[in-house]
Amino acid sequence: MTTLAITWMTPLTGIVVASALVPLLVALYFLKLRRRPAGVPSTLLWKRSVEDVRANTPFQRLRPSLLLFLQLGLLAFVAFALMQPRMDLGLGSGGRTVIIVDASCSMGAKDLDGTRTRLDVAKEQAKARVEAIFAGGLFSAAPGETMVIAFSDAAKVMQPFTRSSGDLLRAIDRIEPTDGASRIGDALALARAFATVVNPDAPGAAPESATLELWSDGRITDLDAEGLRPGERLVYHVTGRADAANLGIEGIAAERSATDPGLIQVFVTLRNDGPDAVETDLELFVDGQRRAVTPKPVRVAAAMAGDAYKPGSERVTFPPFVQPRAGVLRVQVVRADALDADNRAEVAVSAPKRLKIAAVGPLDQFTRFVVQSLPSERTQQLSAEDFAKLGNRSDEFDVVVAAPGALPKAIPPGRYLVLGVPQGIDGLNPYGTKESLSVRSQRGEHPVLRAVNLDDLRVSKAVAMAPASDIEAIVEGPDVPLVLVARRGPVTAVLTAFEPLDTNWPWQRAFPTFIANAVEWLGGIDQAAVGEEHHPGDTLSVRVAAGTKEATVTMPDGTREVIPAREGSVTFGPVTRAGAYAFAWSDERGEQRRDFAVVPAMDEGRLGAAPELSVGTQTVAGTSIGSGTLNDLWPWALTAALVLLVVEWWAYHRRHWIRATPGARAVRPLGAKDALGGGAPIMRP
Amino acid sequence: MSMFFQNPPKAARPQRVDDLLGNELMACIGRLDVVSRKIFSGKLQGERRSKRRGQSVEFADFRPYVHGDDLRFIDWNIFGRLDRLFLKIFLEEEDLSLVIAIDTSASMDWGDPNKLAFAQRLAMALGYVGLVNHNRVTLASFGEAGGLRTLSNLRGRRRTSEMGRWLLDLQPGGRGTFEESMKSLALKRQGRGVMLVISDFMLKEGYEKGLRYVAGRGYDLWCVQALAPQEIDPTAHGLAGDWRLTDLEDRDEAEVTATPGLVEQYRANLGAWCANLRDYCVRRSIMHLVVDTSTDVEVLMLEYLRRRGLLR
Repeated sequence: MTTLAITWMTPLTGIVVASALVPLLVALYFLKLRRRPAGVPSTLLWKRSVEDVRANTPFQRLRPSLLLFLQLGLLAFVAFALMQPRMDLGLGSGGRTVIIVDASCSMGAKDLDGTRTRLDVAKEQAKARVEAIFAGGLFSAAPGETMVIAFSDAAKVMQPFTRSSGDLLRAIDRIEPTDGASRIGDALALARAFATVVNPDAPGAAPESATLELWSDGRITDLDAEGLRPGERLVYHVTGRADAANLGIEGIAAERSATDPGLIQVFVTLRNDGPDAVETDLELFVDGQRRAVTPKPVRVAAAMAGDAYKPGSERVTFPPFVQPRAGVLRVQVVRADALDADNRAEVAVSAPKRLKIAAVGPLDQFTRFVVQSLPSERTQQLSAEDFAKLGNRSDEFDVVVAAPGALPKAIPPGRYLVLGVPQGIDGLNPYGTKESLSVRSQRGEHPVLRAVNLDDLRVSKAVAMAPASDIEAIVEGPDVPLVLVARRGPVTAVLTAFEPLDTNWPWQRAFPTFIANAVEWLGGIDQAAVGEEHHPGDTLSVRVAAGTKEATVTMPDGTREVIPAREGSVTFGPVTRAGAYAFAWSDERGEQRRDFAVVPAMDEGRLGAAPELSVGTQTVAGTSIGSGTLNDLWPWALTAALVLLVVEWWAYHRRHWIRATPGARAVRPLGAKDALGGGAPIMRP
Repeated sequence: MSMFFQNPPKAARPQRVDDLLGNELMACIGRLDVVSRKIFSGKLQGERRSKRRGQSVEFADFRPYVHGDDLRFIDWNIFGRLDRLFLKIFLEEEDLSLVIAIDTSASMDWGDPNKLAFAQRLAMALGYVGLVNHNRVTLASFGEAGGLRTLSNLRGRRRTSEMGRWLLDLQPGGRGTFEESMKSLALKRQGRGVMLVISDFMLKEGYEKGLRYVAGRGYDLWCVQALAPQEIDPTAHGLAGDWRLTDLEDRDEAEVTATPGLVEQYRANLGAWCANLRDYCVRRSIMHLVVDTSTDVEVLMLEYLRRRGLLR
């Protein structure tokens, strides 16, 4: 339902109009009283007639009169204008408002006027809305509290509830564009948390809800999971064109050749969200230098419209090229469109490197055989005592494959593959053993389980654990986790709840695959495995040598930030913009550098603004207002009143226009008897 | 549609005697005579038969002689046959006083045709008829600031131009009281005859007292109520919209909005006003007629006044 807020948007305009209109009306009033004079033989009968009419008709019968209707219309419009109605679907007087601005990647499109992004327009409209709320009105109550939230893949309260319009305007100005996805869940949760006011004096009363005013293009990924609560009202301001087309890079990956690590190959997935198929060239840059161009334009099919929307997609593979060093690879779409953010994508590659592996403790022969057969720079067999003596120097090994009892209670920083349950990792919470177990589920998408089939795994005995929530179970049996990934500060470990010899696993092909995956994953976890994607919202972390105090992060726009190192790692983020991030630090080995590439969020390429939002089971129609002032109706009402005034003026004077009719003969009066109603015998020859 | 109210014409009153009485009209009405409903006595043995018996050639009756009768009227032939004295009684033929009183108040100077101009022409025509028939014609004007003005005892055709000039000199304006004027006119009465009062009778103080003075004193009284067409049907002559009407006599103002309902009420009131005057006249044997000033004087006299018995 539309609420008409009464606000005094432009008092100066109102004064000007009133100063022009009121004298006009007063003049009209006086002019209307000026009757035309005429002399008559006697006013006796006229006065008597007027008195008779008044006496006989206490209320004059409403006669159809154009002037009457015009004046009634004029008054109606003036009254309408005085009420200053608005169509902005805004809050009622005194209500609480939450201004939610979508700052996701798609809001960076310049499809509205070609110069300003959707976010710029949304911010302008939101600021106009704030000014409208706090401009006050002739008949309005005090404006309600208002807060500002910006969201993309995460929500951020830019300004808690306040009645300071200045703070709100500054908060809106502070909203920065991101290249993240549109997820409104956090924003709604924050808005509800701030907006819901429970009256402590009336515990049973329904909490007061606020009006949520959302500026977005409507391409929000998690709307289906949300819903409006009773009494909650969402106003959706559509920002963006519904027919906006876009071509962008949906994904990028790079891999070094397994046989020749110096060779690298780049894979790109293009996405077309337009109604027509398009062709474009792609350019490949390595550390800013153009390295390759697609030999011929790449044609990307059109998107399939309708309910089963499906964007056009095309995979492009650049030929392998020699890149023995680390670097940042960037693929650029040559074709320009409304959204620049997804026309480029970066991926950081590290220098080819072979792992240093330590096999610690009495490993079973199967495990030991697999580890020794892994490609590595060095694989060293260590006893538990020797490993304990290394202390912090153990980080010279990229991965440590250890028997569960071979690790000390204070596990030194490093990455561990433990085939069993070690003692030094907190949060595992072992509480007994389980027997005769099989796999119920496994997270196949995890790199460790890539191409690992555990359907035939039978576990005769395993340690039953109730791991903490931050310990990730990637393989689960009945009621107990079987394979876990634990991160404890500088320690990262992949561990199993059983020992290999208690299973039939060593005789399966999945066993060496699992160990190889785990070693590679652990070995590359801080090495930015080639082709690994980062998206806005992710946190970038790099492991640094013990004793390193800080690292400098260079962001895509060139700005730098110094981040202190904690517990042997430097963490930055969550990042908001796509592009290359460079970490640089110094340690005893000299200057170190690590590059990260952040690519825009997926699903942001569909630029066509949604005309309505489906929030849970409800549908919220969008309002597409140009600015905060265009939604006022009172100027239109006032204009209509002025037009009616002119028409009324014309109609009034038209009655007294005397047309000169030279030579016109006086019409002989009606028969005297008829003229007098037959009352008196007026002579008529 | 005539737009009298929006654009009233300047009053066109007659400037010459010929404007009052043209030769053609004179020829038409020259054979008319003023008729009284009664036979009146007069100073002279005129052309009238009077109920007063006297010296004339027309025998009326006999009556027994009584002491003191004029011996010249004894019918000696009867005395010879019957030996009784009878007196011969003759109808005395007398002259007729024709009094024409014209209202010259400001209210008469209105309308198209002008009411005063109409009254002047009607008075001139009737007076001429009286003069050519050797009636004693008296003209009077009332309503002016100076009170009653009279031109008395005109007789004979040769006084026509004098009467015409007197009528031309009439000036409208002022607000004399009708009652005082009629009282003065009654006191100046000479003989008996016919009296016509030409007025619009739009008198706020009322016409009853004034008419009472001149009625019942032997006059054969006629009230000629002259109304302009614009009075009879204002809407047909441009009265529409909002008006401030000013009384021409007392400058009283009435603000009216000429709605159909109001105009209808005005016409009903005008009809009632005229009907009241007619009823008053009928009760006192006064002849009353309402005349539209657009009526031609010739037609009025030759047809209507003859039918009503004023002229023959």
